[in-house]
Amino acid sequence: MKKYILSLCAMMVAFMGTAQETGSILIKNGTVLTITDGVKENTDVLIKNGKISKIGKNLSADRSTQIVDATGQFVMPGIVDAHSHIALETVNEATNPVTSEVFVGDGLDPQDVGIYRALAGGVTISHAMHGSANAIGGECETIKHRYGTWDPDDLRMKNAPRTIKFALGENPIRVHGEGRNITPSTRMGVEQVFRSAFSEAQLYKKAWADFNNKITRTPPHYSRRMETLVDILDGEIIIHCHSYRADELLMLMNVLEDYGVSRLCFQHVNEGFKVAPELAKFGAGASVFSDWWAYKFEVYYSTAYNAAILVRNGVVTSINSDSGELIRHLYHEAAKTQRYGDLTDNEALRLITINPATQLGIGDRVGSIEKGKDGDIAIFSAHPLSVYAIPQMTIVDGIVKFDLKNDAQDMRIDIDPEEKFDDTFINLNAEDEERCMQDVYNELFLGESSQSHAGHKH
Amino acid sequence: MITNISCKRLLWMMVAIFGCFQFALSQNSNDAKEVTTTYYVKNAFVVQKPGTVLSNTSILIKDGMIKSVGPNIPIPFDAEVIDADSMYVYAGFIDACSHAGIAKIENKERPKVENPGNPPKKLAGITPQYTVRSAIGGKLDKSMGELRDLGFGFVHVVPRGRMLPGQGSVLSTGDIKPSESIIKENVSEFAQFRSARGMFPATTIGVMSQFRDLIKNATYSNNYKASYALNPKGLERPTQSEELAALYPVVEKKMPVFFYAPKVKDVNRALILQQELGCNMVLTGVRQGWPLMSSISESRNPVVLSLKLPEEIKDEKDEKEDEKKDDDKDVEKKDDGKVKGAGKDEKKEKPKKKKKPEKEEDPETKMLKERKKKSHDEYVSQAAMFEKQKINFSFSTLDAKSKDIRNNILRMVKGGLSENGALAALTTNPASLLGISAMAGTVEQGKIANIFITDKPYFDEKSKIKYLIIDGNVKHIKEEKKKKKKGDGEKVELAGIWSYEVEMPGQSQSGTMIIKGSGDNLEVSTDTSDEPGDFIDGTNVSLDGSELSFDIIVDGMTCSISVEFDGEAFEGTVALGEFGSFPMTGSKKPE
Repeated sequence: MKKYILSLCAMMVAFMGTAQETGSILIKNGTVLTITDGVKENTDVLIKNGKISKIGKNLSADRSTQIVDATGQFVMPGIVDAHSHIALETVNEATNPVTSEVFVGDGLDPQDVGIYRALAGGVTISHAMHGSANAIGGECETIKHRYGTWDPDDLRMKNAPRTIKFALGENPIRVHGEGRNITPSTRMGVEQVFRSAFSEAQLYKKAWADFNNKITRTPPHYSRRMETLVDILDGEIIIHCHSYRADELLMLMNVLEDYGVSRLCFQHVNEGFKVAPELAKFGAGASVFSDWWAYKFEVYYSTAYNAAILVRNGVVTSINSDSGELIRHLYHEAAKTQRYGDLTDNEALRLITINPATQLGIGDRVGSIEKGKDGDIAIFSAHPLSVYAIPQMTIVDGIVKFDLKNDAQDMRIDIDPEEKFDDTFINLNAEDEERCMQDVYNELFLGESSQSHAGHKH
Repeated sequence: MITNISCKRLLWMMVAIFGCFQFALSQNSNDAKEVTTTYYVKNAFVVQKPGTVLSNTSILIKDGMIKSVGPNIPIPFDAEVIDADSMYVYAGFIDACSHAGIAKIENKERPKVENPGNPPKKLAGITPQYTVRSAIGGKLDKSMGELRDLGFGFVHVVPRGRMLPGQGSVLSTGDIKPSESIIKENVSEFAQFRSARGMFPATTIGVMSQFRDLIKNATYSNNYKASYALNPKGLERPTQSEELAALYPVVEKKMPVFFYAPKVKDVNRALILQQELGCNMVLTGVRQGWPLMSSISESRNPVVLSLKLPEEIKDEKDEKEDEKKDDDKDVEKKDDGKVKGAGKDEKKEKPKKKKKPEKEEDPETKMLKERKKKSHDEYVSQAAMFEKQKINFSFSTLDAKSKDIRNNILRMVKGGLSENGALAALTTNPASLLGISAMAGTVEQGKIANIFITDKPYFDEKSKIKYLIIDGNVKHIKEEKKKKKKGDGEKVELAGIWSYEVEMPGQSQSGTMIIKGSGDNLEVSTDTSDEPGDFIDGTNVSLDGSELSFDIIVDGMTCSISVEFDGEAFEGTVALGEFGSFPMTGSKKPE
């Protein structure tokens, strides 16, 4: 009877409120790559109501629990991508060097089939980022790949820390300096944009404090741009900064130190290997490409050893995709650090699991197979760092979201009833280009925004 | 392979070519001078309101008002009697949101702004202070008349523009001075996720942010104004921002925001804003709202569904039936003797047309077709789903073409919407939504006499409107003019300057078409709004009756244009080789 009441209570909790849909699964007899607690052979993982509840041998579960046989297969935590633009309708509000007021979470596109493609590569979480057109871009959103929903709210990872995109170097200079002849026209100008924005935010904060403390009686002009900057100053938002050159990495850390801001993760960071100890000392993360460079001038001085050097220097390092294509084989990207830098299996796997999760401030909830963490799992036919590995199944919150054996032909959600089939194939086959600079050229130089123009790289 | 871009350019060009045809087709004007303002509709079935049909009932109308409705009303001596025996009387429909009457904003050059990050509000599309009265000027465009002819007696007109175009007013569709046709002014604030061009907010995420900023600042400013009014001593003067002042009724929840939200993502974003900002919201022009129906239902917002539907995909069964009907028609024609010389030759031709060799469809195409059909059916049955869910909804003609509106209503009814539900969404629901129930929405004493009379029940596919009584004017609609036969000798004068528009997926292109000469010596040339004045001459120009066709060659590709003229307007298609053909419309520019 007691058991009955308990399970009833559990059911009520599951049904009540806005609780996210979750599932229960028992994964039997796999090689479990826990990331934080070694490799466990012939081990079961039990997910109950979306959370990992047990890891061990010969586990059993009630009848409502789905059983997955993983004999001979490898079970790892769902892959986390710290830099992506999938599931987004708009990426850049490129009209101002500072647009901290915008939030890409307002432009989520849960119908993007790119989410399903990411799932097919074992990726369960991605960091949907604003682009790099502005020195201070918009706020980003950490999403879980709960594909199959119409409601953008279902994608949001509730209570994940807020993050915001910053950008250094050529992109903001090209858009604003060259494009409009305003600051920043140089790398020095980019620094100045940060400093004036933060200083203005300090004044704004003081003005509101004075009004709230009845020192002044006229309310200051409310500005979302300033509100967000104040929240950065108050440590509520993690900065994710598009960056390449070592001098600029140092510059941003100096600026943030002056304003007392410490939550920072660099993105791309191609010259991170030059200043790895400095990054480690500041506590800045680094989210890098495995071996991608030379697509513009500031990205020529690069090495495939970047990730390994950063790791060896104690920097929390991840490997990201920034692409709807790369996101499907991040496990390959991680494996490259073994060829270039001899990272151990676990070090390499950390680059796409617990480390990116830590950079997004969700390392306590996902990124490893531990009791109490989210039931986000990727199952591979072979060790995921092997070139022969094929993703078999991807699970989010205990629900199977991708299953190679049950992979429907047409996974689109939103079907245009007037579409021409030729367009269907063109759209489906279009490679999801790098979208860091999406929208910029359309909006600034062509007029109406459009989704078709991929824009420049990174 | 021609790229997308050059394909688009071609289309522009084509479009441009059409600019200017003139027709000497006689315009039939039946605006006889009124001799009385009293009308007596005799012995009709009066559909007083959804679900209430009074038989053998008469209606007395005087000075544009319904004086009485009943079985035995005496006929006043000065009344013009409309014998409506066996006909059906309906309250004029109410279009819950439309741009009818408001001219399209010309696609002008993008304005240059000094600081695109902080542009003047007006250029950024933030003009909540604008009103319909100022937008219509002294003139309504023809779309208002088109709605009237479909049975609409009232239209909630909202200004055109970008994110906050201005305030909506309810207009009567009568042929009277626009300023006099406003029956309820500034009932709503119209809003949409339409970004500014090349300046903030240039994206949806910018628009979302800007809404939050504006509403917050309007709230602060409104509160401050109140405390200043109470005791100004020692206080700075309040802001004089017109934009914020116009939003005060919104933050005070005295004026609803009609938020244009056609697709599911727009619906979600509008709901997010409403939850955050707490204003009264009406989701408007909703075409794809069913996936979020439960959120919509929980939000308790009234909904205005769009009367636009995707192009019809018929069931295969229906298609066969249609073919059969066509057969019947052909036979009828022959019986009428209208088709002369229907010999054996023709009979042979027919089966050829119908017996298309049924190719084995490849499974992928078949699957895609099935998904497409399913999606189509969902769009069509959205209204029925909302009805089942007991969500209050009205209809809007936003995005819908006039010629499709009636058929789309019938399609929705076929898709499961009850006739009474459809009627309520066209009359009583929008009346209460817009606060005009005392004046409109039913055929009852004391209401404005905007009504229409049909020969059969409205939802009968074959029913036709026989009389329109709007603002005290009666319009008797006679049998449809017989379609003019090709080459029946009528002189068509096309020469002049015309503007055209081509609709392509996701955008439209406009331009000018100049026609010179007449008869067999027509010269046509077109330009595009992208490159005005850059005219290209048409080739293979031919005129058949009122149908003009010609080709424009751009970058070696031929665009075949074929349009039919009707008075000061034309419509037709632009065929772009393998890219398919696109609808084209146009009208004559005033000299």
